[in-house]
Amino acid sequence: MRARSLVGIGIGVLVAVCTAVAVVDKTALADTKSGTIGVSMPNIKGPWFTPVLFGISDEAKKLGYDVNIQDAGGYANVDKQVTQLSNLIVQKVKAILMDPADPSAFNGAVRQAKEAHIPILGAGSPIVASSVQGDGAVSSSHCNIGHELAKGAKALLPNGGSIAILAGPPGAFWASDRLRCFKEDIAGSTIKIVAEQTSEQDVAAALSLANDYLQRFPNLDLLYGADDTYGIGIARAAQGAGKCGKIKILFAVLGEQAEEMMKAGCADYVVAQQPVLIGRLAAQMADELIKGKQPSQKSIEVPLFAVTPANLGSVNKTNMQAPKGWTPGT
Amino acid sequence: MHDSSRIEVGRTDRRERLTDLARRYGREIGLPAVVIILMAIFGFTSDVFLTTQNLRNIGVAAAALAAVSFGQTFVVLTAGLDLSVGSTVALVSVVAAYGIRSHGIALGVAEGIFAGACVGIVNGLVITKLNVFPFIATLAMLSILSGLALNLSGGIPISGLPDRFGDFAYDQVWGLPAPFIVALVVLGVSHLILQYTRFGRHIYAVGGNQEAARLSGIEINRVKVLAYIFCSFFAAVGSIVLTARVASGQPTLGVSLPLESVAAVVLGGVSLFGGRGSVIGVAFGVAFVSILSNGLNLLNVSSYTQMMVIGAALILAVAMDQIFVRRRSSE
Amino acid sequence: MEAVVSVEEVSKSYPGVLALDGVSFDLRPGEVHALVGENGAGKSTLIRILSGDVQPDAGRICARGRDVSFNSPGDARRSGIVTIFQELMIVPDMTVAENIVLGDEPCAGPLRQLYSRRRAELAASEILRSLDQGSAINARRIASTLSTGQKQIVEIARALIQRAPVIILDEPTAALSDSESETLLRILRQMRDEGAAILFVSHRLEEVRSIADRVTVLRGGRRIATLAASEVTGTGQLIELMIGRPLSEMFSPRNAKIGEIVLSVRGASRQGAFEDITFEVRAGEVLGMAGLVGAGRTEVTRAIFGADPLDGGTITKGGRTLDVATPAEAMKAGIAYLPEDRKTQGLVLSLSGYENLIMTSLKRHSPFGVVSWRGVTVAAREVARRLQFRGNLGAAASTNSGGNQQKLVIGKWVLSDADVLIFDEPTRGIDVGAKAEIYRLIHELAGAGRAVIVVSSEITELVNLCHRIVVMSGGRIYDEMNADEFDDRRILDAAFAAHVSVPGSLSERFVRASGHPT
Repeated sequence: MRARSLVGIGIGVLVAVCTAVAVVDKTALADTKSGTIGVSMPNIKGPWFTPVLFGISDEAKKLGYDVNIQDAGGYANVDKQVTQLSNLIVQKVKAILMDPADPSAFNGAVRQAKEAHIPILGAGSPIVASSVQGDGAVSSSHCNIGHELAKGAKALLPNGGSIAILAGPPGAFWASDRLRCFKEDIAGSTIKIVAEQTSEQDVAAALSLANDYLQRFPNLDLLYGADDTYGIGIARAAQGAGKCGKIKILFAVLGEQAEEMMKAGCADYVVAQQPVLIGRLAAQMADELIKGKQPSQKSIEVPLFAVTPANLGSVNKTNMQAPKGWTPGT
Repeated sequence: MHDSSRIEVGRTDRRERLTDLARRYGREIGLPAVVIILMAIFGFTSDVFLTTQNLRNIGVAAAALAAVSFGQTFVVLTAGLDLSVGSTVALVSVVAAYGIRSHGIALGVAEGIFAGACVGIVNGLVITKLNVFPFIATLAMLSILSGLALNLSGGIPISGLPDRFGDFAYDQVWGLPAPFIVALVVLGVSHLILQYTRFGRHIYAVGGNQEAARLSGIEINRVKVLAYIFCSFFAAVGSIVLTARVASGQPTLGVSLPLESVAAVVLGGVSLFGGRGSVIGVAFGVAFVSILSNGLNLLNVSSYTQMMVIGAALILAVAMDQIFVRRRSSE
Repeated sequence: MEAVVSVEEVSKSYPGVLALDGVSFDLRPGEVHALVGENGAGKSTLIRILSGDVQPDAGRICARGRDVSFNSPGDARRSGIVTIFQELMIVPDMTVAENIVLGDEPCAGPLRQLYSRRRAELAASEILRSLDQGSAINARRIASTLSTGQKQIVEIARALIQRAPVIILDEPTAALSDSESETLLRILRQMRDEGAAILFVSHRLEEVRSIADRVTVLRGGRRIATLAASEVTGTGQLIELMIGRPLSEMFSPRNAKIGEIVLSVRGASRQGAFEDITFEVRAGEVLGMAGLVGAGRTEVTRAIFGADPLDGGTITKGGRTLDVATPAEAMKAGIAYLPEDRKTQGLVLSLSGYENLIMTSLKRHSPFGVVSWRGVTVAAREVARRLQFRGNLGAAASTNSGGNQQKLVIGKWVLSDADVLIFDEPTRGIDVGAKAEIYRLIHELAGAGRAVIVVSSEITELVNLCHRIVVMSGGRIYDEMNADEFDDRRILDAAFAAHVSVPGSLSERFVRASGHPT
């Protein structure tokens, strides 16, 4: 008898939880506006994804859409992202904006989206899958970022020098593309790469790696970070070792913290992207496709610009950063 | 007066028989009933849950977990445990991906599955010959295999696999997704082995009363090693399915599988003390876990909350298992 | 007659003890050969060698005229020797049929791997029918639902289906009810008549006398004697061979100094267990509680000790009403209780002998909350000496034999200064030598002025040990008698009083089965 009542209680609890969740969560049931745009990202936190998501959400709201943001929880969770994409398709969202953790894993899922006539676009990524074309993309070319980074390196080290590289998360094509084009440009110059390693996209991991480099190469001239998560880790490591200003720090993406680091003198050259703008443009393109219009440009490349302590004060940041305190949950 | 007392006895007799039935089979029919209730709830609260496409999605997502869980059943029935299944999946993914890239799909898949079986041999030998507790041995293997997978792949996914391989995850046979068919085949084979072969009977004997089995002339070490081999073999099959779904070799695949497979096995009525349970129950356990996570996904419950729910369900299932074990021994 | 199995000059030693010392022994077809001896005499070692579980250090084993050597239980099985151990070797979640064919499942199909459930059930039903159990035990039942006796029969069926010429049984009736023992013995006789060689190990000497064709006595690892049934004059003779001393040394004279009433129970009741229980015990007195299993004796003693609640009645100790709700309170009131199941309720098996001994008297040895180990060691050693404890006090309690474990439990309570001690089945499963020592101890305790209550199913034990005996049946007291009124038949009649049956015939069987020496 005790066992049966326990089973009963268990089922009851489960039912209660599910219905409570369903009732409380308005996004699930309230589909009041023109529909929902699905967003599938490998990660939603961090100085890159947060402004992109802000751009998408803000623009989508203006255009009258709800947003359904799916977080795979890391670049390693490729299978989860594939499943989340399939779920968005089943939920018949009006359009899907995505950034694939590994493009070769999404061919089947993207095909499903096309069969379901759901427009699917890259947001922050030029492609959605390795052999299936998306309906559009808004991004900055990662290779161009690599070129810009090379320009920065040459500017910071006119007489050459040694650099150590924090290459980004293992397997992320955006990071490897940047590095590839970076290396192409500095090949044959007097700048030498003495170390190169990938690590988790996490400030603490980057800090730890940067510290290792500082220990191993006491005469290091420059540290390269694939994006500002790595950049902040590098800056903090330099700060801790008292080497700000003595060692050059170069990375991409200017988030809030990166700005502060630059103001503190611990970041010398940042290739800034405009993630908020990318998000907005992606949402706008999605809107056009939903309404059946062909977008003027299938693949939009959002320009980059270099930020140094010299021009930091005059840079327009609304397209780069989300408002303070905004999180994807709101 | 004599008659009325007999009638009284009859009535209480019937009531007793009902509670007796409920006790004995409550465990067996409880889970399928819960699964149906769950489907009803989700069908009600989400208007896309009961669509064909979503059900197919569930089938595909569940397939790998199913294969791994059926393999895990072999081991749990012998009162053991295999925590290394997640890393086995990762290793097989890497090995198979390399194999497919170099030698073609058929050979590559074979190489991956062979690697999986080897893991099972190692697990089995460490546990029987070196006498290490299954919990510790497989936990250590989890770490070793994970490192091995990351080493072999250089930490990055192995892409460049022929499209035909990735398409397999989206193929359909008679309207059912191919991965789901694979899971059904694994279910059928496991059931056949466990219920209808001498080896299967020996597995139940070793788990039910190892000493009795030993003294009856059963070679318990051989049985255990084979159980671990089957476990890793089916985990390898699950890995191939997952690898096809992401169309690349991923050294970090399957991280959540040890917990989820044990959850499915225990929810499915297999006792952690060995000797009791069947893969049919485990199939319902897998269905429960998969339907739960799919439904919660569609209701936009965060994956973090989902982890909590699955953990809570597992505690509930084990508590019930305990009650029934205690019930049984007092009979 | 040709022996079917024999051992010659077999020896086996373990660290610190010579378990078997040059034992030679043979087993003939068509006989029931009983093996008796104290615990530690070497019976279990001999069994384990014959069953293939361990290897002898020296000596030969011959089976069917050829020298054999067993490396595993499977080997012994294949040579035709099947052993049924005291701990039931049943797989609880499998069916009866599956248990019966365990290890030798009937198979068909390719590679002979497909298990044929049908054939197994057919074979199992047939064997059960030959044992006259076809109607009682259904081959499809789950084994865990069977009674202990039925489980034992399933194990016998497993042995039978192998058509094993040699069957060894280790204490088969220890956990069986009277009727189940009856059935078992009948089956063994049937098997013997069909030509099997049966080796039967038992402490129940009356049982041994009733079924054995030959009896071998082991003592200290050596074979002392092998007697044909006709040569056995009585269980007393066997006991003397087993302990190597005359029987009169078993029981010491009763304590003469009886004092005031220490404990008084009036009208005690507990629903479903016992009703209207009234008796009293005096200082220096040994009171026996006789009755059948299930009569309610343990329940009464547990209630006195506070382990179970009372629904009605009063218990007074030393003139004051006792209102104990927990054993801790009972202990404080000076009541000690040695439970039936010493392993799970009397000892912490993983702790050492020392720690178990001082468990109840810890307060005395730990002023300010810190334990003084020197004091503990001294007290423990002293009590162990008095009890003639023959083990290692420093080792875990689990390493001791049954008799020594019981001494640890008794020692614990001796040290606790309780003045009312309740012993529940104190000598169950203990060899004859240790029994004598425990009886002596009980007399000593009485002599020291404590009151002792002994619950026992062995009438002989009670009759020789106690000053008075109360007999319970079906939850009530049916008789009470003084030492000069003690009479086996009278006790048995009272024990059966609550059951509807012909007292005489049942009580005869009870006498036979309880193993009391004539």
